[in-house]
Amino acid sequence: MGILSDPSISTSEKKSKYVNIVRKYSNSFCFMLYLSGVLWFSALSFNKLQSKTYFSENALLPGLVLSEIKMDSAHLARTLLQELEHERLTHKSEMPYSYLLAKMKQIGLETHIHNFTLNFPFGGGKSFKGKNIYGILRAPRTASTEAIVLSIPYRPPNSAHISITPTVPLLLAFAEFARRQKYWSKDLIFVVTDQEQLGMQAFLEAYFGEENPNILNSGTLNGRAGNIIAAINFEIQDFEVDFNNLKIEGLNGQLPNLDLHNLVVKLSHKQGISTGYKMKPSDHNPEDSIENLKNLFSMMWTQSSGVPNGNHGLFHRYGIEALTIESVKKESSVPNHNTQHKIMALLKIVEGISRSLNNLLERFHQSFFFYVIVSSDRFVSIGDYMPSIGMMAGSLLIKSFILWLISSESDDDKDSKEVSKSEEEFKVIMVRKSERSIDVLKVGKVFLFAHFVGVFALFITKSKQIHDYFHILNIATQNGIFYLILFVFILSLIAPKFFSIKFLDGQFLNIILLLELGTTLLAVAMLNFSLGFFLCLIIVPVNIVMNIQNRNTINLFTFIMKGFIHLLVHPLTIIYVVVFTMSYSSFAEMSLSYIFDKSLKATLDGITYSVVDSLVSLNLYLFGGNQVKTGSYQTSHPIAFGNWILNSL
Amino acid sequence: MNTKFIYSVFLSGLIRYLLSISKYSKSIENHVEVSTPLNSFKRVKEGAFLYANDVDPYEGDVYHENPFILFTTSFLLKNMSGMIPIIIILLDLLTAIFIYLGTKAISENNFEKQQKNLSTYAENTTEIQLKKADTIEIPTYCALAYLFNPYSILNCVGLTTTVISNFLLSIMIFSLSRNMKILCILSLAIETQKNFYSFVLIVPVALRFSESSKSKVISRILTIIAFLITLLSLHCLSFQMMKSFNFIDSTYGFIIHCRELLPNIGLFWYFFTEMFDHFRNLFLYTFQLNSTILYLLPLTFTFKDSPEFLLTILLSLISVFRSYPCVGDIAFCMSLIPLWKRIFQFMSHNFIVVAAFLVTSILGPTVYHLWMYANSANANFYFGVTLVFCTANIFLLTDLTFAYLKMEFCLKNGISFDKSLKLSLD
Repeated sequence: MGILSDPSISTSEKKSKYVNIVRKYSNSFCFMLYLSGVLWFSALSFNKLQSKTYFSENALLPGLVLSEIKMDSAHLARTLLQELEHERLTHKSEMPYSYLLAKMKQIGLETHIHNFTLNFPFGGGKSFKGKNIYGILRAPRTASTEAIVLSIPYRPPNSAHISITPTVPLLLAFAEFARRQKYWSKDLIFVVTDQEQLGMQAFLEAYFGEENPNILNSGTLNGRAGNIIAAINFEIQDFEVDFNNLKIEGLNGQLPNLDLHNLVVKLSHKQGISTGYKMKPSDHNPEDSIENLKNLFSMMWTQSSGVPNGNHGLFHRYGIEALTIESVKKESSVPNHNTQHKIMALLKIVEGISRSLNNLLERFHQSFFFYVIVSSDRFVSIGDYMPSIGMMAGSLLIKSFILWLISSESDDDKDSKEVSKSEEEFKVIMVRKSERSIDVLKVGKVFLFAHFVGVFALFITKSKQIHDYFHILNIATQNGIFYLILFVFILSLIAPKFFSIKFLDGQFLNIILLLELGTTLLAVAMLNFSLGFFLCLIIVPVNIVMNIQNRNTINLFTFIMKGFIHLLVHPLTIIYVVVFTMSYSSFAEMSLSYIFDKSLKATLDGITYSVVDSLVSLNLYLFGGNQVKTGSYQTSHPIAFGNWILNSL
Repeated sequence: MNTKFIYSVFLSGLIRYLLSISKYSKSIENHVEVSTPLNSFKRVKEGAFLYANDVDPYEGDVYHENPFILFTTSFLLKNMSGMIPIIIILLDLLTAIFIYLGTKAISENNFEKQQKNLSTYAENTTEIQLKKADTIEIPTYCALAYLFNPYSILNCVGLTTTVISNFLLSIMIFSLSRNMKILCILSLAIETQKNFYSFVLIVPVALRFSESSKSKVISRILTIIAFLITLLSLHCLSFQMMKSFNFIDSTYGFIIHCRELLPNIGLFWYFFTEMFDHFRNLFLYTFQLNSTILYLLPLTFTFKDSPEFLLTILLSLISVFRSYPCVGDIAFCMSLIPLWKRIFQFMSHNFIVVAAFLVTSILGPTVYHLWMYANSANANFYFGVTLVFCTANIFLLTDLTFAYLKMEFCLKNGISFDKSLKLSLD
């Protein structure tokens, strides 16, 4: 019971001995903790510390059923592809609705059209229209209580993305096969979506009856099936498949159940198509730790943006397990007689996955939802990687505890001396003590102001009035948003001049901010581990090293250094640096100044996209932009700012 | 009451009002940390609707308020449903004012008591004694702790009936401090009818009322008998209103048997979802004993000289260990803690407790979101967080208790003494 009820009354002597030690080594101790967090994570790249994937959900019975799909379906897929290619000659910028509608009806699906409208929030309110087509294959044996979605993004010929035309024929051929089977216990929904993720988002919103009419008017659905158990999104570039690449990262960094991933990998391997997460044509050596670490980071890099990298990512928000199978075509396309064979393999994969999902008795609840994939058959689970975040974010909490100990100890020292003095001296000391006591109101003001600036930045970039005003002034949305953020940035730069806090108050403010920062980082890491990890990696060391110093004793050089470091960890700078390095690595042959320019533009675009994204799809992080790295703006801004104030005193 | 205090009442009222008209009010109302099956406004509306349609709301499994609340809320919902948030906010502000008045009287009383006992105190203990200035500061701190506590704000914006409970408790404390016996017993009886657990509070009430009387034992027995009679007549009155005793099972039975295992910040739900059925009763009674009378006797004997402190401790205990706790209960207990300001220097876990409250208050809703909406985390995550929350509460409680004992010891024996001395626990 020692922790709960320390029975000693006066321990100041013992305590001060501890405190002196702690004070001496506090920074190095916290830094060691941070480093051990980083090392812990790096250690996960060793083969021995990862786990092998396995199936937890027995009901999936992967690959146990005999494949019944026949060669005629493959022939059908080929014929349909030729027909579709023909249609695409005349429909350059839109979906060949009438053709698809007719085909789906002919197969025997219950087919509907779904209209939606996007009212673009900025730039004076333009609006875009789109149409999805979906067909429901009703399960013959149940009353439409559960469903599986097979989603197909359609890209018209003038789309900027890689062409994935064969997807529709393949899935239609499968639908034709599936309609003739009588074992389905869940409805199959075949959705052909328009406008990439926007169409999917509108479909899901309409399916779940969610209303967001101001921005994305998702319309209504004429036909529905039951509760969606799982969804597979297909992006097949060519029937001449080289390998299957799986995409799993969803909105706000959510991941599908690991069982679903394993299922797809297993069934594809069974058909002789190599499949994996971030699959590369070359073979992977599981013993190579450096390679493993690279893979870990590459997954976390994608996840931390919080932006889905395929249509599957939007399902996760509704608690539906989903992933994308991207079939990458062979580079050297030598005319091959084996195409039919490859189509067959793909169809068998689709059949196998659908039948396994059809076997499910409950929603996915076993296996893992929080994991990082190392290779197609190895992963790191939450229990293994969470300690590293715990140590990194925990070092901030511990530092704030140590600061608290030190500051309360200096009070205690005074107290013990006071005891022996006479009444009058005691009064003098009391007065002095009240002078040195913390001015909570003042600290509260700075604290509130810092948070106000953060919320203000969040609000101002989304405000419709301001964007309408920009439109009247004829300022592009990207620039407009950039000016707004710059304004907030400058506001936060000059603000410290208006506050003057004493050393002790500064210490107290630092304690609060460290506590808050540590807590926020932990919460972010729970929601999106990768984002939390990268934020910790950047922010924690700065906050450990920074100490409050008395204004009188600090010299000019340290002062400038501190200011510089704070500018460096400012979210805008981080975003810019990240975009710059990414463009530099991909366009190394171009001149530096060009890249500087280009990445500035990309940064602006990224920020704008993320604002639009957060409005359209309720992205949790405002600035978790497309190619942009951090959601730190919202979460860390008040804190970064608070620290800025502290250190520029 | 000074002007500053009145300003802060207005300011906190404004915060509550702005939040209740904002778009966040609905999501606050639906949070499990705020609304439990016992106090949620949704169920109040449901009950009023059933009652208006001549269906006995206690026959179903939804409504668990007492008949008085059923009557008043169905009247309010029928005649002025738009005013309900404002009424709730006003009740909450009145609670703060009653806390102010009550704690003012208590601290003045404590000061007088101390002046009387001054001769028994050791030398050089002026520093840890209550000062005259404290009797003005303490009630302000208590009221502010209620007005600006995020937990109480959330509770008020969530329109829970815990606001009413807190109001009744604040009246009880107010009347207790002013020796208004009838009002005190009546408010405690109504609160007990609503919320079962608060019957233990009759012990500190009886102790306090017996302080001024000549034969203490008789006074205590009389208080308890008066309380029982009031409670009984309240139930009879309810029977008259409802024409059946169904409500007893729907309120007391529901609380004691913990029938709905909706997640909340307490310890019951997780434990009883995992429980084998034939052990359920055993553990149920163990848990209920733990939250009511297990600590009652030892605490009463330890703190019989300070019934107000006993009241604080008992309130905190039942707010942690009850079957459907919510943040509103905890907010009320927290607002009484500044009453014991002078023992803060003896407390040793302040920082850990504050940090734990902060971390769990943020992580709790996060993992709940992951569990319920994102479908990726599970019950264990949320239970882990609520377990830490409860532990923080218990740390606070034990720390407070021991600090009080240490302070008493130091008042008697002086602050400076042999360093190697230790206070034994038994």
